[in-house]
Parts: sequence; structure tokens; C-alpha cells
Amino acid sequence: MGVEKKEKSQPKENKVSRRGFIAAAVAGLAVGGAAGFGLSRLITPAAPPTLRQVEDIIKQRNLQPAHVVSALKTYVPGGMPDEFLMFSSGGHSGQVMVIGVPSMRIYRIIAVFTPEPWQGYGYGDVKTMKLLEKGSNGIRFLTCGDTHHPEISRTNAEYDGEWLFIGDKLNARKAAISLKDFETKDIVKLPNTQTQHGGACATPNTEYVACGSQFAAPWEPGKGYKPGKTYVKLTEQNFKEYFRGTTTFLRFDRKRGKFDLANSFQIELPPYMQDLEIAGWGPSDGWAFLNSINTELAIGGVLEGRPPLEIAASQNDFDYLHIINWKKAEQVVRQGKAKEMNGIKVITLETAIKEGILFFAPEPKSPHGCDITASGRYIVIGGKLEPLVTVYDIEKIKRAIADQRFQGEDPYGVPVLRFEDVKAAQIEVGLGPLHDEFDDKGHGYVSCFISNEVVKYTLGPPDYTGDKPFQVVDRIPIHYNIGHLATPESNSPTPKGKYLVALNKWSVDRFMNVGPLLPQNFQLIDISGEKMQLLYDMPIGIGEPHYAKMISADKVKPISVYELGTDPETFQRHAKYVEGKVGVERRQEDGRWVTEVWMTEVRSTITPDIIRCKQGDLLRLHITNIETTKDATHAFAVAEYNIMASLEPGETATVEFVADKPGVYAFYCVEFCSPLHLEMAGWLEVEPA
Amino acid sequence: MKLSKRKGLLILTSAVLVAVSFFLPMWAINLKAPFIEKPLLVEVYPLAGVVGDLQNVNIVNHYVGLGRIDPASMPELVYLKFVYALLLVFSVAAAALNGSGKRFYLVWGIYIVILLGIPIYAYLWMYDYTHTINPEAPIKVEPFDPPFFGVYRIANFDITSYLGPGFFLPLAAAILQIFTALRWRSSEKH
Repeated sequence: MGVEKKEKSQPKENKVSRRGFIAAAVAGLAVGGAAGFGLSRLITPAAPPTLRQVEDIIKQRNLQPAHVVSALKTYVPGGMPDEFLMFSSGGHSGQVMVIGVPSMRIYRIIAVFTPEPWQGYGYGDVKTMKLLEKGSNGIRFLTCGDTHHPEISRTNAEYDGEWLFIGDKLNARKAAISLKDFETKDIVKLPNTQTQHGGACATPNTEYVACGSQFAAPWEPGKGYKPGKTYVKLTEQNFKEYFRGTTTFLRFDRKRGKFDLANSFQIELPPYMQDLEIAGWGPSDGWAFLNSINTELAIGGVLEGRPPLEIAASQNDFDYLHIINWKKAEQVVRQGKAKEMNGIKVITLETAIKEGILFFAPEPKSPHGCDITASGRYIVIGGKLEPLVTVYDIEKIKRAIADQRFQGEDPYGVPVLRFEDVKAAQIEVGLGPLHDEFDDKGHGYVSCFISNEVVKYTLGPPDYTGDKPFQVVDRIPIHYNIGHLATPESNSPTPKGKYLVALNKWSVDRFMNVGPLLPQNFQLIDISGEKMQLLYDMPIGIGEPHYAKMISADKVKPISVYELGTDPETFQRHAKYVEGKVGVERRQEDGRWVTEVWMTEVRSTITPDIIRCKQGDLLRLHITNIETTKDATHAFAVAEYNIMASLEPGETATVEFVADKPGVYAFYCVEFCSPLHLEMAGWLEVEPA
Repeated sequence: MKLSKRKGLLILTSAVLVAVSFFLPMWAINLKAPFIEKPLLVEVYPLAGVVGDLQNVNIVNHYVGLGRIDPASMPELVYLKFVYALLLVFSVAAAALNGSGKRFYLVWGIYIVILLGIPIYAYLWMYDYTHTINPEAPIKVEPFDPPFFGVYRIANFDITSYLGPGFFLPLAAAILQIFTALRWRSSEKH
């Protein structure tokens, strides 16, 4: 074309030719803008590879046909979406990982219980500081957590892709993450609870997000547990009498994105180690199930002449599956029969028994996993110390409760159903069965930690209608020590089948050695056919995942930019955002000097770029990224002051800190945003007092 | 004076063509680059003025010292409304005078001059814009001729700029009128 021809004839020095600059000028020197200038004409794109060339590569790389099939089944070209999104806990990274399936690529890390600088989480951005503070326990500013079991919000028991919940085992906390912007919106510390493990699990319409405790906490009778205050001397007798577990039903306000403690309730439980929890649907609607270990009530004490916990807690052949009528519990709370303890209404153990809220069923043996099949009829428990998967039938449970058929009571007076009355089947699967997930064809898949395999079995009607119910049909070795597993939308009325991810604790020889702290191994397994097929090993070098939930990618509908001036905490206009306002205001507020600054960030300027204040001032910076372009994220960091904020397009954030050290400090946009990113900087002058 | 049916139809058609153009872009530029998900589109409407992703265009332009495009400080956008109102008046007048010889050609001529004046003015504005460069801009460029009409492939950008229906509908009215004038004249001759 004419324009291009002219351009060629122009002299090219270091200066970009003026024609070339029409583009730069009008369409963007922004990231990569001029990079390809002039080169595109010299390089012709490669011809598409022939089948022959493909075969050559297979030979050169020493690949087997199965490898090639795996590669073809998992490769997702750039620009194409994955089929499923998997939200994986990060364990003691305190975070959540977002992974695409089948590509097994990490898309995002979501900061939850732990400060994370890239997202500007916990480094001066007021909303994140407040969140971490609110989620603390009153005695420490908590900056670590142990995320275990993610849950996705539900509508009619189906995952709706709007919210993600995750618990912190270490400090018994629960977080809500919006899947609109993949950011944590709320954290609450569960009252009367020190550690938790059971959830999150959502009731069918996310009325409540429930979770059971793990290690019992010392309670002052009638007053519950207060972190840092409640003391009960640790003896076997005291443990039995004064320590208590809980299950908490946290009310979730979807509109506000906040847990609502005032409308939540808790049920006091015996000090067994409550484990995983799930709320039912369909025939099991209104019921929640929570398994337990250590019904022996062992406390350890290896130096005091008692056996270690692992031995003492593994003596009973049966522990107790907790069966909770949460709808009845809700009624009982409404009738005013719950007792307020530390900011939450608690149904005491006594009330729970009297009102018919809590029942036990025997479950073998020190079990793990508590999952419900698509029909909502079967509750499936992994035997852990028995090579069995035990399947309970909610219809049988409901009948036995209605008929008051009990084998007796536990030491706390909780009625115990007869195993034979509530059991649908037991399937011998393999050693160390932990967790079960399901597909769309009536199969269960159980992780067997000790025998290092995933075992596939058939369920019973209505989930499976074939002629071989409750039988093992396939098994596949994994590498190594599988904990949880995840199939798409399992534990809902419509599991999708197709893929299974084995969340393996050890990787041993599966990856290159990167030192003694080895990555975990996520193994992607194709479950679309009769035989399971291993597709891919994915190293997880940023945490120790426990459970993951997988959802069809098209159910999640995130935004890509905020409306200008949005506070991501509320998705509303930020209280301090004023369109077009930039400037510095210094004034006294309750006897202290405050320097308040309205700032904007846009490629490639921070305005104002000089902020002058006096030593001891409280600096309050309201920073707005006024970009409207997808991906035009800016950030803000101040040297020496440990301040770091991330500002996504349209976001307004308030950053606050005390300028207590005099000096002149550089601040800059930490996110490489544009060609003049390095120049996107300014000075903070703190004049000595 | 009784309006003939076909003249009435001509007046109506001309008026509608021009009136509809008020709401359609008379010029547009579309800038596509690999790293931008949606191409940047800037359009000039007779009534609404300059519409589009001006913020991004301005962000990009400031690097090379091109001025800030701010519709609020472009008086010609106010004039543009009146110019189009004028077009409406003249198109109706020309239609009404159609077949009345010189008077028609005079009014039609003024109409066409105004109409063609719009893109010519716009081009000159653009020329001025691309030749007025802030010498303090971070990246130095020479003044250049504006990409006003056509398809440009420059560096990694695909630029398409074109006159839109806001221009072509009034032009169609003019063509319709000259065509009818010639036809009616020839039909009168026979």
C-alpha cells in the first residue's frame, strides 16, 4: 500500500519513522506497541507442520503413543479456554489456587489468609488490612493459615459459580471469595472454636456455610471458648468434661458478600475430632453429615506414660458419623432455645439431643471423607484404617430415626443408630481409602492413600442402575500418597465426569529434583471411558493442597475491569472517590496530623508525583486507577515503608500508613504497565518534625 | 401551489435521509492491535459529536505529544449540529425546487458545498492535529499526514478509517435530487 511504500523510502535511524508512528501515536505504544515494527515484513510465518514432521518429533523425543494421546487430550492452545476451573486449597500457603482443566495451568493464586504482595494484600491497602484484622483472633494479627476444603456457592444444590468459600484449619476461620473478581471479601473467626476441618460446605441454596471443628477447644462451662483466655488444665478427665467440638452454620449474605454472625448458629459437640462435613440435597435435604475420629478421647502424652495420639486414637473399630438435622436446628434457634456465647447462638449438646438435632451412626474406622452421591441418597465414607468404603442410605437413616431404633447412646447421651439399620453397602476397595468423588454414570472414585491408587466402583440405585451395584470396576496407580481427589461438580446433583485430579502428597521421582522440599503432584486422569487413563503430572510448588472443587468454566463469569472508582470490597463506588480529583490536603483529625492525598494512576503517570508531609503524619492515599482497558493494571509501592497495593483498572483503593521516619522515599508503579513504566514514579518527602 | 406526489415523495425522502444521518457516524476510525482485546473505535456523529474510546486514544497519543482530544473543548462539534440542520433545510429546499431549473441548481450547489466541506474541514482539523506536536513529548515524532480515509497497515496496527452513513446519507439525498432533476428535465423535453 501507498503508505507502506513511502515509509520504506524514509531514512531510519534510531527514531521511529513518522509513518510508523501513526500507529504508535493513535493506537498505542502501550505494552509491546512498537515492538514488531518493521520486522513483520522480513519474517514470513512458518508453514503448518506435516504429519511426517509430527512423527519425527515423536521419534526424536522418545515418546510413546500413549504420551502423544495424553498431550493431545490436555493441550489447550493460547487464546482457548479450558473446559473446567479447579479451585484448589493451598494448605499452609493460606491461599487458593485457580487451575484450568485439562491444561493443568495455574491461572491465579488468590490471597486469603496470608499477605500476598502481587495482589497488594496485607501491605497497607486498608481494605485488605481490615480484612486480615477482622479475621484475626484478638490476640495476634494472624498472617498465616491452613486452607483445606473449598466450596462453591450453590443454587438448588448445584454449584452456581458466584462465590467460593474456604476454611483455615489452623485458626478456625472461614473466608468468602467473590468469583466476580476472584478476591477475598470476608473472613470470620469461628467463635468457640480453635481449629476447624469440616468445611466449607454450603447448604443447597447457600443459606449457610457449615463446618465442623477439628481439635476440641477448652470451654468454660456455659461460656464457651475465648482465644487467649480460656484455660482448662489438660488432663484426660478434663478433656472429656470441658473440651468441646462445634459445627458452625454461618449465615452468608450473598448481596453484601459477608458472613452474618448474628444470624448464624453453632451446635456444641463432644470433643471427638470432627472431620469432614457435607450438607445434603434431594432426599437428604435439611441434613448435614460430619464424620469423626478419636472417639477414644485420647489426648496423647508420650512423656506422661500415655501412648501417642496416633495409637490411642485408633483403638475403636467404629467412630461416629454425626447426623445433623440442620433445618430443625435452625427452628430451635428461632424458638430462642440457643444460648448466646461469644457472639453466636449456640445450641448446647443437651438441647441438640433433646430436640432431636444430633444423631450418631457407627462408622469404621478413624474414617476420612464424607461425600454425597448425585441423587442425594447415599453418604459415602472412606474407611482409612479399614479397606472399606461405607455407604449410608439417607432413607434408612430417616426411617431408623423415625422409629427411634438406637443401639444406645455415646458417653454424652447422643443417640447412636444401629450400623446395620443405616448401612446401604460396604465395598472393599483398597488400603487407606480417604475421599470419594462421583461421575455422571453412577460411579464413585475413592483415593486409597496407602495402596497408592484410585479405585472406581459402582453405586446403587438411583445413581447406578446396572446389574452390579456396589462393586469395584477399575483401579489405577497414582504417584504417590493420594489425599483428596476431585471430579467436576462432584458432590452436587449433576457431576460431570470426564476428568479426575488426584491430589498427591508426594511426588518422589515424578519431577526433576528441586531440593528436599518437593512439589506435590496433581495427576490428571481421564475418566471418560471404562478404564481410567493417566494424562498428566502437574507439580505444585507453591503450597500443599488438600481438596479442590472443579466447576464447568462457563459457570464462572468474572468481570475484567471495574466501573471507574469502584471499591472492590463492596463493588460500590469507593467512599473517597471523587471524579477528577487529585491533590494533597493536610489537616488535624482528632489531634493528629493527617495528610490525605487523592491520586490517579494512568499510563504512565502517578498524580501527584510529589507528596510532601511531616514526620508523624498519618498518610492516607486514595488511589484510583483511571484506566478502562482490560489488563491495564497499575500498582503502587513506597520504598523502605513496606507499602504495596495493586490497582486493577477502575479500582480505587485507600492506602494508609504513618510516615514516622523522615526522609525522601521513591514510590512507583510496581506493575510493568507501559513503555514509560520506569518513569511512572514519584517522591514522598517526609520532613523531619 | 399544489405539490405533486412525486415531489412530495422526493422532499420526504431527502428530509428523512438527512435527518436519519444526524444519528449515524459521519466518520470513524478503527484501530486494531494484538494486545487490545477490542479494537479502539472513535466515531464522529453529527449530533453526539466525538464518541468512542477517547481515553485510550489519549493515553496513547500523549506519549508522542499529540494533543488531548476533548470533545468539550472542540467548538466545531457545536457548529456541526447547525451545519447538519442547515443541510436539512437545504435538502428540503432543493427538493422543493427540483425541476425549477437554475434556482434548484443554486440551492443544490450550496448544499453539496456544505456537505463536502464537512470531511474537508475534518481532514484539515486532523492535519492540524497531526502537525501540532508537543515538543516535550517523551517520544519524538515528525508531524505526519493523518490517516483519514482508507486501510492502513502500520507496525502491528490495522487502522481503518472511513466516512460513514452520517456523510453518505446526505450525499445520497443530493445524488437522488440531481438524478431526478435530470430525469424530470429529460422527461419534460420529450
